[in-house]
Amino acid sequence: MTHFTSMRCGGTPLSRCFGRIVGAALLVGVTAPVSHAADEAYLQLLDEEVTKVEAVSTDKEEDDAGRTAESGAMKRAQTAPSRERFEALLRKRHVGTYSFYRRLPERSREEIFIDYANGAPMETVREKVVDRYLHP
Amino acid sequence: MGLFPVCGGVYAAEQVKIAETGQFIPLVEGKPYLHVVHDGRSVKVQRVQDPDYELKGYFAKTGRKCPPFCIQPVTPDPSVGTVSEVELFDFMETQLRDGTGLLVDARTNSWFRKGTIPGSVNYPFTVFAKDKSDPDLVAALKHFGAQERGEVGATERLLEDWGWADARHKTEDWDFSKAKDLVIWCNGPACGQSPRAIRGLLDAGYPGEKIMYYRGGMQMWQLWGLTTVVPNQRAVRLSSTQGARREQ
Repeated sequence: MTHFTSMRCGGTPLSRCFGRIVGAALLVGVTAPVSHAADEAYLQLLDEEVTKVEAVSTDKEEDDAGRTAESGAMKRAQTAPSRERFEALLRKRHVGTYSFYRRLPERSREEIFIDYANGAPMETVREKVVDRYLHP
Repeated sequence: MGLFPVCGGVYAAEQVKIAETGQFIPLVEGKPYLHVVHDGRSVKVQRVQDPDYELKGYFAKTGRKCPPFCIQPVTPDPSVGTVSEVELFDFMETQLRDGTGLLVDARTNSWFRKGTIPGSVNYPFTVFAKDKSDPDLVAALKHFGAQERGEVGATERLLEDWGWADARHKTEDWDFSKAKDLVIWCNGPACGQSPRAIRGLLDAGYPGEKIMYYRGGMQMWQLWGLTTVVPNQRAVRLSSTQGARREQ
């Protein structure tokens, strides 16, 4: 009959192996709640911190709608380079669409750029380019 | 309600200063502003035009209790890249517009409600600490473009194991081949919320190369005087319902 202490687990006596298993189980049992508690403490501190913050919106889009008296410098800065950037972007990322775009009349290109500047997704912009190309 | 007249006043003062100085402060050279869609409307992202603008309030603070609000390393994981505002502007104009990318505000919902970067969606970091089968984590991964694999045949598994089939962006449960590029951010260089979210996503198998860390976060965003938005009440209600479920 094999004695318990002479049994082996891998290269280790079973008694020591059993000890390791119990140790690991205890470690998991102890660290999991500690980790959970740490998370809770962190969340609590975050909740405390957020009370020190004021809600701030600096989005002036709604104000912009009613405003016409923009300075010349601002207007120049807002109009000139952006279209160049849009066209550079189109040329870089959507070469096929750009090849249609550059053959469009100026009024269509401007219309497409305005859509883009107003936040239209690139997918919609590309569809519009093709549409304007096929139906001039 | 009370906020807009204040903003209007600040704005008018800015206009006077621009008129006086004749200088417009762009986002970067050659890019005065950009537009992103937030809560279904187009938001103009630009810098505060007052050359004397100074950051005030919570995000002007330099010291916070550490731990937990300790200075973070440049990246939470070597597989994840870090971006600055400049790359974030490009991301907003490309992947975010195309729908191939998402800007993720990884802060808890109460922080999100105080103001966010336009174009962001709120997924608190707590979602990504959940069990892999948790419905909130599953929903988030699906929203990010990951696809559940279901049962994978033995042959397919074998081919993947041998490297004969592309398993680069696949785990046992998820296929991340079409997953979106994410830019994840929180309160700034001393905030641990987005690093935690990133580590959670990596644990779930999300490819590091599809994740970017905007370490500057809200603190640097506000330091540069960039546009912030307070999410509208409807969006917050929806988001907080999800957030509450996520944080349970």
